[in-house]
Amino acid sequence: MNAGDGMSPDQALSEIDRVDRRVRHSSRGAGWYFVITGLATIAYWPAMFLGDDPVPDVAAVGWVVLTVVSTVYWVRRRVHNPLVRRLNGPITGAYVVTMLAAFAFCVFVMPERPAPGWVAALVIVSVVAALPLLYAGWRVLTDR
Amino acid sequence: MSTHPRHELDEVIHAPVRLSIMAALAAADKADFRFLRDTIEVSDSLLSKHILTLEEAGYVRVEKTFVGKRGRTWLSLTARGRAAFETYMDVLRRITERTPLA
Repeated sequence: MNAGDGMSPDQALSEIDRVDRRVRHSSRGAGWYFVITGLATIAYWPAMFLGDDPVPDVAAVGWVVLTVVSTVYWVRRRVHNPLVRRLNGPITGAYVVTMLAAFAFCVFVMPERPAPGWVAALVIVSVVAALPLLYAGWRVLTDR
Repeated sequence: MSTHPRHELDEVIHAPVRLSIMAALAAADKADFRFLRDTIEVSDSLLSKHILTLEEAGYVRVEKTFVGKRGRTWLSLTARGRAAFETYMDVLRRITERTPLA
């Protein structure tokens, strides 16, 4: 086969566009991973510190399951996206900081029987903890 | 007298399967062999043959890894391959934007 047999420049551009869209579509899984983990983060802290039994136990088990599933997904990815690579380091760093802050708030600051103001504060802290992941998810899912 | 830009098309890239491989790897950091096979819709042997051509041209890097006992083949563009693909895209655009002389 000679190079380019039967392929016009327009066909070449069209094929490049098709493959590019397919690769980007496959990369969207990482975006959903960020969004799902972000939403789980928002639910996790109130469930752990405000929920009655067995809600904290369910939240803890759910978190372990999410960690296992996301690790398996991360290892089995078939295509690595450059945007995900660029975001991964800063987002992981920011997420560690916001999660540690949420942990410190829940353990050291929040009273044992929180008034509605404290509950609202915990929800805000949970949302802030999730922001790095939600931002990463939004960036990946809206990438071109 | 100017030469038509089609003569500048890199013939290593300007072939149906190799073009698809280069386009896929240009959009990714790296992709595994099975993903490329499914995306380009070719047989393992045909894909291997074209990957070898691109590897020999210095455009594609092949990396074999293991997860447990399962082997995986990762493919990525080299810096030279990425530059060649960008040049190829420029030439394609010049051809398609070229207006015929009156």
